[in-house]
Amino acid sequence: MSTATSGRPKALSAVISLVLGALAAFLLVWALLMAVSPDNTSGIETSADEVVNYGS
Amino acid sequence: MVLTAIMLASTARHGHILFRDFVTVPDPVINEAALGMDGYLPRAVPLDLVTALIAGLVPPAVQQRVLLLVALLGAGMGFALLVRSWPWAPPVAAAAAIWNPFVVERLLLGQAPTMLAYTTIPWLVLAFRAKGGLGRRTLVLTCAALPAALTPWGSVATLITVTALIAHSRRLATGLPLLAGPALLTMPWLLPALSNGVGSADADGAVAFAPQADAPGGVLTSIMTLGGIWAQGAHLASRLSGGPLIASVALILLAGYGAVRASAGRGEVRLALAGWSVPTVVVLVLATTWGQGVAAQLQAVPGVALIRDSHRLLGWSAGAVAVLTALGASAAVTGLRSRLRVRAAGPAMAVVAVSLCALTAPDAGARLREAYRPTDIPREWSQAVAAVPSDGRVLVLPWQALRAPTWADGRPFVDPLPLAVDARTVRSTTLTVERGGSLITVDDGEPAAASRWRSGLLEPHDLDAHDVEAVFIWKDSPGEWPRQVRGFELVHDGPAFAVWTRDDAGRSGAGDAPPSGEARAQVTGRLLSTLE
Repeated sequence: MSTATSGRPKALSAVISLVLGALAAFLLVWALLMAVSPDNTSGIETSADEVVNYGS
Repeated sequence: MVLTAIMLASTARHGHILFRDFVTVPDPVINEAALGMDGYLPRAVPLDLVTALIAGLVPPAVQQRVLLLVALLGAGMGFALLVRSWPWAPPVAAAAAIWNPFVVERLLLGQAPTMLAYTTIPWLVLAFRAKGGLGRRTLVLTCAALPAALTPWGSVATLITVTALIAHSRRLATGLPLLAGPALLTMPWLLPALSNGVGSADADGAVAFAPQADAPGGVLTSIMTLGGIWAQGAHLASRLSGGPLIASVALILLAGYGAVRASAGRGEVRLALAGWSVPTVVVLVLATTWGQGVAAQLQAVPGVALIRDSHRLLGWSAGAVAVLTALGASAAVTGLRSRLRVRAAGPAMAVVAVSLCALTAPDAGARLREAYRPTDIPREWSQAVAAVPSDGRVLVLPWQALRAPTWADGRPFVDPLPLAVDARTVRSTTLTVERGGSLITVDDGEPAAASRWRSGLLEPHDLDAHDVEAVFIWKDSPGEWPRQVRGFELVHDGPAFAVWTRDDAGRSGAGDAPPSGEARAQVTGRLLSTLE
C-alpha cells in the first residue's frame, strides 16, 4: 500500500518534469531561432506612414 | 544581456545611428536649438545640450550606443532588482522588461531617449524606498530620475511615477517634499518653452498619434498586449499572426497568476496592478473616437502635447506586467516544487517564461538590427556644415521633417542639421499621417511660405521675412528643391548636399527656378522603390 501511494507522485513528478523540460527546450530553440533570424519580417507593408509623409 | 545583444548587435559596426527620431551628428554644437530657444517645441532638451557638452570626451556615436545600452540593460536590471527576493523571478522580470512590444515599438520609432522614462521606473521605486532623512532620500530620488530627465517626457513621467509612489505610501506630508528634485529637473525644457511662448500644439496630433491596431482583435488587443503604437512603420509584422498573440496571452495569464498568488497583504502587488491597469485604461479611452475628441481639445493647453502619442503611457503597464509575470513564474516554481516535487522547476519555468517573452515579438531582433544599423555620414557633411554662416537663419530643404538619403539606404530620420550649425534653422516639422482613408497633417505652426517651399519655390520676400541667410539642401533625399537660388551664391555643391548663402546684392533681389520635372520624378520614384 505504501509503495503504491509513494510511487504515483514520483511518476507524476517525473512526467511533469519531462513535459516541462521538453516545453522549455522547444520554446527556447523556437525563440532563439526567431530572434536571430534575419528574414522573418517579409510580406507585410509597414511603411505607409512614411510614404504619406513624403507626399508629392 | 543576451536579449539586449540580439537586439543591438548591428550597433557594433562603425558609424552614426540615424533612424527616425534617433539622430546625431559628428560635431554637435551648443546653439539655440540645444537650449530649447529656437522657437520649436523643445523635444530633445536638455539631451542635445548634454550631447554637445560631452562630445569632446565621448564622441556622439559612442553616446548613442551608451544610451541604447542604458535604456535596455537599465530596465532589465531595475525590474529584476524589484523582484530579487522571489526565487527565479529576476531573469523573468529582466526578459519581460527588455523584450516586449512596447519597448520594441518605441525603439522602432527611434525613441530610445524617451525610453529612459521607462527604464527609470524601477530605479525610482528602489530610490523611494531608500532609508535616511529627507535630504538623502531627495538626493537619491533625484539621481535616479536624472537619465529620464534628458527629455521633457522623461522628466514629466518621473514626476508622475514619484507622485504615484507618494500616493501609494499614503504619507503625503513626508512624501511631497520628495517631488522637489524631479520637479527641478523639468526646468531645463520648461523655462525655455515658457519664455518662447511655445506650448500649444496642433489638435490634429491627438488623432494622428492615437493608438492603432497592430494585432488580431483590433486596438483593444493591441493595447492589452502592450502594442498599438501610432506609426505603421514601427509595427511588428509578426504580431499579425497568432503565435505572438498566444505568447502574450500566456504571459498575461502568468502575470494574473502572480498577482493572485502574491497579493495577500502585499502593497507592492497592488501598486503593480494599478501600474498596469490605470495607464492601460487611459490609453484605451484615448484610442476611442470620444477620447481622441477630448484629447484634440486639450492640445491647446501647453504641455498636453507630451501625451498625444498616448502609447508611451504603456511604459508603466509594461513594467507592471514584467513584475507580475516574474511573480507568476516564481509562484509556479514554488508550487511545482512543493506540491509535485519537480526539482528542475526553477530553471525550466524561467526558460519557458523568458522564451515566451521573446515570442511576443519574434521579429524584434531582425527589425531592430536593421533599424539601428549605423551609417557612415558622407565626409562632405562637415564641409557643407562649415559653409553655413553663423548669423541669420538657414532654410533647410526639401521642406520635409524627415530625410531618407540613399547613403542611409533610404531609412527615414529626423533632420539632424539643427544639431550641427550655430545658426537658427527654419525647417519643417510637419507630419502627414493617413487615418481612416483621409490624410491628417500635424502641423505645430508652419510659416505661410511652407507650401511654396514644399514645392521648391523660394520667393525673395519669403526669405527676407524669415531672415534667411543660407539655404541648406539635402540633394538625394526625397522632396523638391531649387536648382538656382537667385540672390544667393552656391558655396558648397557636393553629391549629397548643397549650400547657398546670400550674396551682397541678395536681399530682396531675386526669385528662383522651379525644380525640374526630371528631378522630381527621380526622387519620387526612388522613394517609392525604397519603401515598397
